[in-house]
Amino acid sequence: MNQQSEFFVHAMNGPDQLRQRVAFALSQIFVVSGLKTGEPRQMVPYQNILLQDAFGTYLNALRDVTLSPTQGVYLDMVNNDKADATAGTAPNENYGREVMQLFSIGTALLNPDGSTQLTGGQPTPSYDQTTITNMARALTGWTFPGRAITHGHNPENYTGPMIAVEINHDEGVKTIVGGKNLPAGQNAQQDLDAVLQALATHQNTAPFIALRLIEHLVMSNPSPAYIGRISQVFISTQGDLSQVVRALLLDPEARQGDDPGNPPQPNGGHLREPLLFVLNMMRNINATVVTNNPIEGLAADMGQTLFYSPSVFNYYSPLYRLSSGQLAPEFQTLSSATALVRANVVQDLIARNLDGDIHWNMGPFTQLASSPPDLVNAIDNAFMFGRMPAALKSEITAAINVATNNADRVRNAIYLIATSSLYQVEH
Amino acid sequence: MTNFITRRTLLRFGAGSLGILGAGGRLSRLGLLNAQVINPTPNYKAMVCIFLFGGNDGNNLIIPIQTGLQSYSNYIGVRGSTLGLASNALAQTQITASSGDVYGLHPSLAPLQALYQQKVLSVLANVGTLVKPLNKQQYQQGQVPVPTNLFSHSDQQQQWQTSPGSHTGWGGRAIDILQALNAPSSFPTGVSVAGNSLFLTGQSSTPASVTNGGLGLDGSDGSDAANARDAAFQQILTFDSGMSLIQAANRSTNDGIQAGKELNAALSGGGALQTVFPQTGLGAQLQQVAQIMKVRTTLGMNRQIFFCSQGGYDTHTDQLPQQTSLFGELAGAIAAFYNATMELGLANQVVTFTESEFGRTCQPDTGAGSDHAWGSHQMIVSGALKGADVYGKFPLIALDGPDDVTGRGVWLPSTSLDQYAATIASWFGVGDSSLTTVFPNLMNFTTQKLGFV
Repeated sequence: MNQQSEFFVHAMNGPDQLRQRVAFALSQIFVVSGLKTGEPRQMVPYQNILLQDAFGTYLNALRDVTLSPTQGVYLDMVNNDKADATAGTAPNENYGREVMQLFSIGTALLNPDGSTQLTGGQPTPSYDQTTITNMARALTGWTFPGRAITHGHNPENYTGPMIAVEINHDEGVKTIVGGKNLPAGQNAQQDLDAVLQALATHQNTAPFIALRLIEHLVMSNPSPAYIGRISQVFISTQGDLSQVVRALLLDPEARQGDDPGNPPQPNGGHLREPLLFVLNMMRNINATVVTNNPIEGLAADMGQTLFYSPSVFNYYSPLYRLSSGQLAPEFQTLSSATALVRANVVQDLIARNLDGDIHWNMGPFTQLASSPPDLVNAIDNAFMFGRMPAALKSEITAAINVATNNADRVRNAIYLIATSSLYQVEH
Repeated sequence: MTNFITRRTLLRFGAGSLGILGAGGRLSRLGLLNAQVINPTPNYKAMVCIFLFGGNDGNNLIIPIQTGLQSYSNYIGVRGSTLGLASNALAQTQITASSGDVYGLHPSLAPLQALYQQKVLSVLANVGTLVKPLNKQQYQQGQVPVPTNLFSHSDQQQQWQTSPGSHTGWGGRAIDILQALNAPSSFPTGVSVAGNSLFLTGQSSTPASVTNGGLGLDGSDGSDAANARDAAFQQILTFDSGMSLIQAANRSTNDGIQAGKELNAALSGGGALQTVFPQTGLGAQLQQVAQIMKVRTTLGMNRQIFFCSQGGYDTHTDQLPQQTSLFGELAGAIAAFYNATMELGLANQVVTFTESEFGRTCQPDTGAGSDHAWGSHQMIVSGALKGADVYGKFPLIALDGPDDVTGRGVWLPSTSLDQYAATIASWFGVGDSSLTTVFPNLMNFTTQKLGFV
């Protein structure tokens, strides 16, 4: 079974559903990609770190990610040595930059409610090129796990965290993120600890991580008040992700729509990304997944190839906006063409059980199909938690009534609900 | 499973929907050779953007060998053996500018040396995102505004597609002005073969996107039940839920149905291209572009803008082998595409150009790669070029020299993206009075058009 198929088996059947879901969200913040680290010996331990750390502290997750040899290869922190005057080289800036831009604080200073601080009408930068150069220097000296060595690099090895080779570490004085000074003479571990501490406690980190997690787990356009509440939980719990996740899922803004008297706000919801779109549909019809399943390929056709993000900016950017200006990260995967691919995946699912690679018992729906309204109610409960608008219900009921065969009625009803944007945008 | 594998395999090898496209009859090779190519669209023009995602290291795209400013020793002195290309290799791919300056192209770009010699390829040196012209001292003292978040992938990718300070794509804004030339056709002027494209999104224009399996809806067998389902599908797209994201998803589906219908119908009668494209990701994208250009008359197009991309240019480590392979794919695809425009009789009506979010530090890093920088060199290919040349002002390759703003060989751009883009947009038909609407920063520059096309 390949690692992608395995992911789907766990995502569908794992007893730890919330952990799976949060780890998947973390994998889209702390990104690695199979374009550079696609081998199972690289990808599997990395995904396991995220599963393991999903409900621990943010600092712990950041530390494990930073010292992961997989991340080390992906963003080049492994074997990143201090400057070499003879060769005329300088430390690689990749991890030093992206750990700030994408994993912790972002490019501009934030208020606790996630809004951007401005200077002269422009976003106030959270760091500059000099900070990046110094961060790169502070993070030099790490190699693959293995033998403790005093010079050179260890051979490739992905079991356990990276280890330091002090001679490769830049021991000079540095000013890192947040203006913190690292004195001369600190070893690689001391500099690393200082960097991680500075990132975890930066004023931006709470709102930055709160917004990222809300975007992935709840909605694309949370109110500043909602971000502020979650950011406060992050601070008061020292970044305890289990408390942060609990708070953001149970927040009144997340719960809008549970009760018909409290409908979702007009800019609410978020598009189901391709991978979750297929998984959700399968869950809605009680399908079971075989070990060698085709879901990876279907999601790829819809613009999201599992474990193969195009870059460290994830499958889709958290900053992606519609032309109206509204934040809509997952919409980066939705083009005029992939919109049709999504409908064709639904067709594939209902008509051919995804070419025979999933199992699905249509029986519970078929036995209701002699009464189209009953069938539509059942589909409503399965897909929309019984919240399907009356107009949609009557449209689907009328359409499936034309079919004379019960199985066709079930297929057509599922097709119409699953392809509807009302379902595709989770809200 | 078979059906599925077929689709997946096509996608993986980047052939996209070409299997479908090729289904229309083939012109016999002999027939094509003998026939005079009659161009039914003398006023047609197209721009094709090839975006090199990751930040291409232009320092190894074109290397000064002997110029009025410097020689190969400047280059090798900074790049060293870590990132320096050997002079004997560069001797095989030399090009000479109109000034007499001699440069070497990266050895993998040999097919592009041939285009330069045919006078259909030019290079624009040291172009980058700028708000206003500025010098090194002004940059270092922060006296003149510069684009936000220089050196950041996401910000600079966006700015190269929009121009600094704008939120719509500059291609899209050109479409806003020129799409009336395609009336009465309703087919979008902008077509992306590389996913959603900010570059092609304007105020009043949305591009079509072309991808494998996304040209039409499956599952309609013509039965009453299927027809009822399809009618309901259309009807549901018109429901107003009052939620903006749901409406946006409906728009994408509607756009896809409309564009897919027109494109499918046009392509089914289009016939195959004779030009052989390399079986690479970019090769397949450009083949798709050429296929769509071939049916421009059926689609009713007088103007088209295409967006393609190639990823992998973020070469922080082990750059030399990676760039060799990336440039091989790039050059092969560009050369094939130029041949296809010849086949279509459109060589003088198509301008293909590269973009990339930034250049890379000339000083290598300790991982035998290079880091994020600023100005870099871009290429333009067209039969409409005013000869082949190296345009713009090449930076002096010296750490801490007059063009280096950080000490690691980060070149202050001597030409702005807006000047580069405005030159192409002007050729495409954006009038002088509209250029500053499309490119608001352009009014800060005395030279608005660079004259390469």
